[in-house]
Amino acid sequence: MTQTFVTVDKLSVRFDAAATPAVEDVSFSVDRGDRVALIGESGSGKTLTALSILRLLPGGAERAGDIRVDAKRVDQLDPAGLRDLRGKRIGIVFQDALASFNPVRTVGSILIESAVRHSGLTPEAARNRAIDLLDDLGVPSAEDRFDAYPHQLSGGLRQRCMIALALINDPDLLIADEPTTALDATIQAQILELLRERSRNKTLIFITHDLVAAARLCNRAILMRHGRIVETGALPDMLNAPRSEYGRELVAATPGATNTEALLDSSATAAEPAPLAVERISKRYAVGKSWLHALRSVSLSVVDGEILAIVGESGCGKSTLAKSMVGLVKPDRGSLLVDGVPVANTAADRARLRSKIQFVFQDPYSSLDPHWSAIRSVAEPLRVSGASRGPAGREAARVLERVGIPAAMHQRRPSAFSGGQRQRIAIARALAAQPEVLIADEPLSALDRTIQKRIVELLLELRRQSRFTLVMVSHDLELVGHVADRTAVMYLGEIVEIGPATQVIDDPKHRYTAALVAASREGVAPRGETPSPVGERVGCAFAGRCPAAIERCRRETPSLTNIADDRAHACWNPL
Amino acid sequence: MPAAGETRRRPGVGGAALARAGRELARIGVLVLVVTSALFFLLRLTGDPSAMLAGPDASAEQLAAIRAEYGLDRPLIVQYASYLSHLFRGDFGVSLASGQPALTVVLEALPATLALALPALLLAFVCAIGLGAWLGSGTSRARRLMSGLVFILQGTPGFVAGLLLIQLFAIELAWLPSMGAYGAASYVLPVATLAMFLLPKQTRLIASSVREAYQEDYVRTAVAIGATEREVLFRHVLPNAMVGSVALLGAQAALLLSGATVTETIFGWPGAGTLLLTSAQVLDFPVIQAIAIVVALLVFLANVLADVAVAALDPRARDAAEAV
Amino acid sequence: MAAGSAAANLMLRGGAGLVLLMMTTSIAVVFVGGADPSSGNLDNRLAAPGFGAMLGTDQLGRDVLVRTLAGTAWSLCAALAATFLALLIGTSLALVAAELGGKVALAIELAVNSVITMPGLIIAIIVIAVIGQGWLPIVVTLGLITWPIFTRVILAETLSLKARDYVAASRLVGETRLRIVMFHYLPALRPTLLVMAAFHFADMLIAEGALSFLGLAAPLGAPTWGNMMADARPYVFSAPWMLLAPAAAIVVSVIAANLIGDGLASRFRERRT
Repeated sequence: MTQTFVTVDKLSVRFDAAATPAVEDVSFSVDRGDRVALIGESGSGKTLTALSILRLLPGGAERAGDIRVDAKRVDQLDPAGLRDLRGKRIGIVFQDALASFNPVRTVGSILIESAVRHSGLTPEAARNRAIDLLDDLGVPSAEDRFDAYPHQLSGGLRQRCMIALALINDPDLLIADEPTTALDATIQAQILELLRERSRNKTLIFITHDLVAAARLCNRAILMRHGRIVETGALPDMLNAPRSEYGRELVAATPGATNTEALLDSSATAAEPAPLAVERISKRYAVGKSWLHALRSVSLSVVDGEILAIVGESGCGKSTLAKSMVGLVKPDRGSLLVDGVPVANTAADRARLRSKIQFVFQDPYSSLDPHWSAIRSVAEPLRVSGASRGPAGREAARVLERVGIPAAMHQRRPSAFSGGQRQRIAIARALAAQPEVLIADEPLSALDRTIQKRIVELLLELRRQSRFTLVMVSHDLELVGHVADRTAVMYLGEIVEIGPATQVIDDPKHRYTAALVAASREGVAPRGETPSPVGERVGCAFAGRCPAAIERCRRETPSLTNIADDRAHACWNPL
Repeated sequence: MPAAGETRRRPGVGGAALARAGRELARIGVLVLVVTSALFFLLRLTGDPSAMLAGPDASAEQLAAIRAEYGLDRPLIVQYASYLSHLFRGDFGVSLASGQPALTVVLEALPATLALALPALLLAFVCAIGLGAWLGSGTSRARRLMSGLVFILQGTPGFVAGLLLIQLFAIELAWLPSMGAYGAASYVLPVATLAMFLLPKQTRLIASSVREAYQEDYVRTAVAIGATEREVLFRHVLPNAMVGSVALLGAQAALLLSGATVTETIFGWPGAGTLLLTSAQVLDFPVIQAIAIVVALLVFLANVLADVAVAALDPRARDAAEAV
Repeated sequence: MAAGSAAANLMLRGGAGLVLLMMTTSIAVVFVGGADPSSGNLDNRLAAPGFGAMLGTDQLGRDVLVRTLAGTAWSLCAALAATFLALLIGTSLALVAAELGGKVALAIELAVNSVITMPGLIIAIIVIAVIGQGWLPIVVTLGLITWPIFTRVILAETLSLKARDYVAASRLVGETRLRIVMFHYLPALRPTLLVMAAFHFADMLIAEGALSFLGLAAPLGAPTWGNMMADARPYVFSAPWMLLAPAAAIVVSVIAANLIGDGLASRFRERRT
């Protein structure tokens, strides 16, 4: 057995129509037992490189170059050899488990198919092995879950099944392609921990955009950009002292990678009354015979001129809260107040709301009409409030320039712009109406790290110029922690903690906040999964997963109580 | 407790299915009501059918007598109410042409139509799956040629195909009879013709479903665990691709019955379609009504069966339906 | 069918060109040139294709080519008008249902389900029996029977558009419903409408042909493709051109319509990626 397991030599991948190759002149080798991270942002070619090892490139891709696994050329393998390579010698964990599992087959049936094919087991034996493996990977009630269909499982469970599929034949090499991207912070931490355990005696290729996760799992890194290798080195050395310019840029943009100081020191003035506030709003949706509680009696008021961050994992209700604050979602109970005056459901009041509060949507790919030019979209709010075409167009052009979209591009349609540029256009549209409060719903989630940094800088700069209040919704605690004045942490429809941003992160009081911080900073995973928001509940929502839950936590629902002038939390047994 | 994002699968499937069947039945009831009401008012649009019933040179007394007998002199609303109450009791009236109960007339003609329709449906479906799976799974020259042929076939209306088939097989080659409904041989051409109504569209649908399925990520997973091309097609792609065309079976049933009408005319087949045409020509209302209602029920039945089949094939549809 | 924008354009142009060609030939020969589809020379009945009558004559000595061309105008216009009617009714109802929701939407859905359930031909037979034959009755009948397919598809698409962020953004800045429908929905629906219209046109051609064949569309003796094929039945052996000419005409026109539809569909699919 030679030491070198995989060699990639001058690999290039090209799609027929494209001008530039997606992967160009990539060469590296992986030894047995190595744990290599392929790091890069979108379009870097890292996924295609890894797929090439298994000859899993999509149709229309032309490949050149030489890839050897265990000294045998991959493109010269006969069908039997290829079959052996895929599923037996190499196991791969794909990014999107929902799309990667056949929707009309149970996850168990796929596991059995692979086990029978490669390990020569009978279906019965294969089933047992698969269930044992699922159990081992932390899937509760493994036998039931085995017969589930992919859409019936939660994201975290699905990903564990995907990992089981990769591991079931005990492969020599494990390739993990962004295995945690679609998952919550706490679940991400769990999955990464699992991967680290399971790849202990194997060779690992870990594809990711997340430097910090890479450093946790791997001992080597290959940094890619625009299809080429930019830098290689050991981890965590490369994090602390990147040699390439791009490496430095990436490290700087990654919160938590190094000690980054706050990007802006902002001061908020408290004036009365609050420009925007919600009082005890609740929202529920009918699901089957029961109710899904998106918001449970939430109260929050925004301080004039501040940057407020609302943070939480998926399903916590932060998006619903943000949309209620701007009138996109009508709460079942409670009220929305603008300048202290409740907003009624009249046209006049709605207009009052619109003139003061504006919104930036999460997905830059669907927040702009694909048939409208950029300038038309930005001018829309002006046209609606009565401006004629000429002046509206000129003003829209001005705002577009402010957000960094050059005049030459103003007439183009969204498809001509990148994700980051589209988000700028969306911000321009929101600002064109000159609002007092700008609410941004996860404005950075769909973007690469380096782009995220630029958008945050843009928002801060615009705020400095135009003096609006910024409310940012996010799942990324670290990111907003460096930028916000105050942070509110939400869990399952309630605010569990709120206070000055740095205090909430560095000195959390609520156990969930602590768990969230530990997960994002240190990769320490809390137990269990987030309970379902459907149905009624007694006691604290986090009690089932809390390491410090006391009897009272299960019996009584805590409510948000002030412990200082600007700090509050809802925990019976705080830190 | 299920975690966020998880569907709890309820054990009692029976209860949910029964409730759904009840809802479907109510829906069909409303549907039949709407259809028959529309029919009622439509048929009355021509004005007074008594003149047609009595004949060209009927006297005033004869017309009055006919009106009284058929209740045509009462106000429209009363007629409508009486019409509905009769329908409820299963009384579809008496055929104006033959004097027999309308429902009986229709039910006698129906088996002949079904004897064409069902084999044609089966034939079309089986051929469509075979052909469609082959066409969708690659881009060889042979496939492209065949795709073109299917495309041309789609442009050929079913009855044209039928006439051409007669031309070829019955007349030129004299292998098969061109008329009538006696003997197994006489089934071949009509069933083939009727299948031609459905085949091109089904084939193209399955081919495009297969082609789309090949683009999905789960096919990549299947290849990544070492499946051969055949295994990918039969165990991963087809189960997905078929869902679309099974769902379409409901709509296809309507097309099937329309096509059956035309096919029966071409081949002189004594089925419900021929009955409809002759009844339409003489404005035999009761029979027309009866046919319309029976057809509506048949199409509805096909839709329900299609729903059941889709639920059997696609677990996502199953769960969505149960959640209602 | 074929992929690639060059092929798509070819299909589109080919199909459209074919339709145009048929239309202009028809107008030129019959309406401008004055060839009479009903005049027949009984001495020359059932004559094989030759110099006098390029596609032969039928059982009454009428020129098959002239009759086929006359039928072209009839069928193409009828199918086009019926498609337009169905599109208009179907789309309007879909937009109303999507915007107003509630009971209105339920009523419209009930109407859609009721009409779609019934086999079109059968309803058409009944309706024609009642309102009589002719070009306008056919157009109205076909339009009134086939609009639901437009409503179903357009309603589903409009609802998914309604859920898009940019529509919410427009509502957020205060756009009126009407403007959202006109300037956001309709441009997005245009590709779907065009493709559906093309395929619907093909279906209408077939439907008109079938009704004609059954003797329900135009009075006896009128030169429509379906009529001609029905007339041809007793003479299939002795004078096959009587069947083949109208059959070829209908097949070619339906293929042309399908080509247009496929070409449009390909073009729009590419534009999306």
